[in-house]
Amino acid sequence: MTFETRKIEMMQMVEMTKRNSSGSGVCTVETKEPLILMVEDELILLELFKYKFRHLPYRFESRDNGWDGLKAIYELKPDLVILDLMIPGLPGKSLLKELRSNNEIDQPKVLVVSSKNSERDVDDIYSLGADDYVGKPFLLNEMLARIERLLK
Amino acid sequence: MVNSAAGFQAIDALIIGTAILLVITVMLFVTALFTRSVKMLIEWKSNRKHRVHTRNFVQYITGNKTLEQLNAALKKNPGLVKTYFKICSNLQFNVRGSEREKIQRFLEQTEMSNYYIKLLRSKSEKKIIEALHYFKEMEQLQSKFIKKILPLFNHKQPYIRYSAATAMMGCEKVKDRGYALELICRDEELTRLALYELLYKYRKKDKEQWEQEGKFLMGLLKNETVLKKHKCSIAIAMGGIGYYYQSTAMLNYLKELPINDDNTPLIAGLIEGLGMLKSPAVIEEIEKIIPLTNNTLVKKACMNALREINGKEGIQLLFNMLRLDNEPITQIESAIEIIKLDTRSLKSISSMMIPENANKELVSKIESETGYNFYLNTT
Repeated sequence: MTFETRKIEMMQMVEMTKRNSSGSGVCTVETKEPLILMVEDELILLELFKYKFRHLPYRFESRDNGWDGLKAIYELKPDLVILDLMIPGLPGKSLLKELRSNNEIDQPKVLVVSSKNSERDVDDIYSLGADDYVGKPFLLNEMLARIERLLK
Repeated sequence: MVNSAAGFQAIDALIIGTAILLVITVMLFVTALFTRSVKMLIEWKSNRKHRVHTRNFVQYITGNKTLEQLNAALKKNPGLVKTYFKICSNLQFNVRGSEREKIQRFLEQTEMSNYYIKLLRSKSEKKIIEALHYFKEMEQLQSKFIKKILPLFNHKQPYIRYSAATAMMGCEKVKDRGYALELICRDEELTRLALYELLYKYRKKDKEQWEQEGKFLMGLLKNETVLKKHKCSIAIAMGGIGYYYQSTAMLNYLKELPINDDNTPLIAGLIEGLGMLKSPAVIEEIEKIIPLTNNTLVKKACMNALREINGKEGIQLLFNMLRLDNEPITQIESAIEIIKLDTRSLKSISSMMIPENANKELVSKIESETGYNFYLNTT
């Protein structure tokens, strides 16, 4: 499936989500706990964060590829997206670009996690609209502190 | 009558043939479906197993399971070693700090190491490589493993020799890591890139070790058994890594070396390494060496060093090289370097004639990099 076809599919979904949320009768449950969506293909990291967030006041969702990640952002409307740049399907940078260029949704905070640590890469990430960046390998506690700060 | 009977027989044969073909197709379809289902089932089971053990490992990392509990699982089922190793190496790439320390503690467990030591003794190259991957993941290779790994430096497969050297870079003592470097630097098949990777792993953060490391590398440069081409890479890496305290020793050694074909790789490496260390004293040596050699490798190293040092003296020397050199390649490459250093030099360069026998490809390379047309003398 081409990028354009996937994009059209996504836009249709955004439309549907908008219609649903604007009084079409679908009831959404309001929860106070912020929702975190992690887009990462490394199972061990997903499990680690899932386990960590279990004891914290956050809801946690994960997707293991770019297309599913973008779809979940539109569907679930997370408060924070933890985004790995090297993911299968739609690459992380393209996902971020696509997300930030969409004016029709509430923009979530995006924390980028990447092993590309050169100054140029970090500069690129911020210019694409990331709110924060953590290089791999990271300190788990530092990561959690940044997440907390972004969600305040 | 005869004709219609033959016709019926032909139709019967056709029907039987079609039926046989149909049966064969159905059988093939069922076999394919069965094989696919079995494959999917195995994959699903393996994924489920992987997920369960990933969760167990996460619980160990987060402090909800003890090392003893994981060890008990390994003792019960030694087949899990591979699964846990895969989980460890995936996580190790992503985290540092206390989580990484926990991973290392787990990797050091006897159940894990015994399994991979057994694999090291295997005749299968694939299994040996698998075992070496385990030892490469260890941040500190215990001395009891060194003896098991050293014989692999004589293995016929170059990748195994290289992997053995990489695993040895985890040794705590400089002399052990250095010994592995010395062995691998006798290897004709070791590539320059592989050696650089080893040298960067050789470096540790400990200050005391840092001082010993540089001295040991300097010793390797003077070691007769080390191949000349590898000496060149070592000298460059010494500059790249930044063993500043060795710059005087490197410079003195450069002065000592007679300029001949045999020594050119080492001379080139030392010049480039000193350039990376930004040692201004090397400029004087370059001035002495340039008129005495026609070796392109050395000339290129001189240019790289001068670019690194980036001083006025460097630019002046490059001008001289450009004027005096007979080789069009050096003239043109120097021109590119000068332009990179100082764009105002374009006029001076254009005033020098580009030789008629100059390689047109290189001339167009300068022009494309600088936007300058030498023949029209315009930008």
